[in-house]
Amino acid sequence: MTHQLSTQKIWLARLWRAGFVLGLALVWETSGRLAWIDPELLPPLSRIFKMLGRLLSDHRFRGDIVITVLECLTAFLIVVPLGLFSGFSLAESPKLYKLFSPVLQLLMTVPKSIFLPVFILLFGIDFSEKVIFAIVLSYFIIVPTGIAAVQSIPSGLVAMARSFGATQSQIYLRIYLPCAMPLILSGVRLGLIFSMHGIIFAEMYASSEGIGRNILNWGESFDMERLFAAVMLVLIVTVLINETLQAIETYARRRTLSGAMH
Amino acid sequence: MNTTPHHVVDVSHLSKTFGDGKTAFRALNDVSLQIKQGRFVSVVGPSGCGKSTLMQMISGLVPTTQGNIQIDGKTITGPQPEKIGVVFQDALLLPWKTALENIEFPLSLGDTPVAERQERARNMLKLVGLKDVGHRYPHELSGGMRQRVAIARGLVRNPSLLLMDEPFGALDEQTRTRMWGELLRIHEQSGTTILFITHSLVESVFLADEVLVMASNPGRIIERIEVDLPRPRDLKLLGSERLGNLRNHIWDLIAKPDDEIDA
Repeated sequence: MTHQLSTQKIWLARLWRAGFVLGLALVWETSGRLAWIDPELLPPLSRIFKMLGRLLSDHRFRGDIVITVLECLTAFLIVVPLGLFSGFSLAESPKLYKLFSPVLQLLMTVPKSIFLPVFILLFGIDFSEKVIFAIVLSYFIIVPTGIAAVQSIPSGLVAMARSFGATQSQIYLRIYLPCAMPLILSGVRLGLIFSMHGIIFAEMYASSEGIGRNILNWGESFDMERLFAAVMLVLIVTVLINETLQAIETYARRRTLSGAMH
Repeated sequence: MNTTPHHVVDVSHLSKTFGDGKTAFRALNDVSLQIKQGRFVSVVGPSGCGKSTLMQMISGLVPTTQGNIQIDGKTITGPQPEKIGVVFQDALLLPWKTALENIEFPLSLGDTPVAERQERARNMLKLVGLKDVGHRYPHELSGGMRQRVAIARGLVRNPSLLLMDEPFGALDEQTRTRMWGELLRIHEQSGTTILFITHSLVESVFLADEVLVMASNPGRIIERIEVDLPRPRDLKLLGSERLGNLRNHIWDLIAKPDDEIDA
């Protein structure tokens, strides 16, 4: 009964979201067609999508996409295990936590983008500089998630497993991992989103290639159709990734936390 | 074997101090107790009397400061999953596993073959009267059912001692009363020795053959009471004068004048 109600609510929320996006698209399209806003400044949606199609078949832009994706994946694959492992270690060791958490909290509050010029001086403007910047940006977001993941593990379940003779590795594998899974997945999702964020930002700041570079170029030359097409591409990809990972996360959460922790 | 394991549990001169120096806190002081095979012994006392510390030390989760704990004639130094099954205040079931899988859990930590595991878990499920709900997940069970699954899990390795730490403390009164009946039946059928920690006076008397009354500051046993109520015990005994008298006697022991402020 309550389950049905909540699924109904979820569907309503989804419907409302879809309707909102559709409505926005409609207003956008008509505003351009009826020239409420100068179509040179805000081209109708249909023209943007047409342009996106053209861009996607352009081998030069496709090359830029490949570079950006590679940069994102590299940063993501390095920072997620690194950040989660740091978070786990800090949460598991009170000594480490005492030592590093003040530093970590300080660094977390600092806007990382102000260091970008320093990164450029240190690492140049190629692949590694962007990846390193994205890693630094994401790292301080994933670490607290890793800490929270360990702290979300009910100590009662650990005591229970220990009293039934579980070894430490069994406790990690059979209690920690399933209990922490929802927050680990959160860390993965945040890692992916902030890796993309960092890469595109670094590309826009100083780069000779990648989607971000193109977005900046087209913006500066008032090529609104191409600009919006590229923005739309990033938007669609991010939303799709985010929604997929969130669905997996919700599934994991329901599995581990279904009902009360009794 | 030098001594016949006549006593399943033999705790001698057990003490526990937390912290050291000026902040040291004596949680338990010189506690000794023996439990014979098949007996049901309850430990009752006010909160902070160290009864949970006692139970954690017997379960091997917390090291002792002084003294010795023997189970089946062997001194223990850590968790003894083959000898001791533990039931906690919260059922502490794994929410992502079914009732049956939860009962299998202690066996799955060792190398029991899967078929045997399932067989034994099913038998335990039958013992606690839940044979039809093995496929359900913890959130699909009532509080009482969850606690029965926890008892089944505690018994699945056929331990010498079932250690129960306020297992019914989180249940409502009616469910708790029903669980008393269940536990008495399970005790009778399995013949397992039970050490039962509680803060409920009535519960401690109604279930047990012997009640150990504890006091705090420092935690210690102040009296042993032999419960001479007949077995098998009927729930009607709960209203009897004999039970009432025993309960009142324990209350007099526990309720010191300096506690009156709290009351």
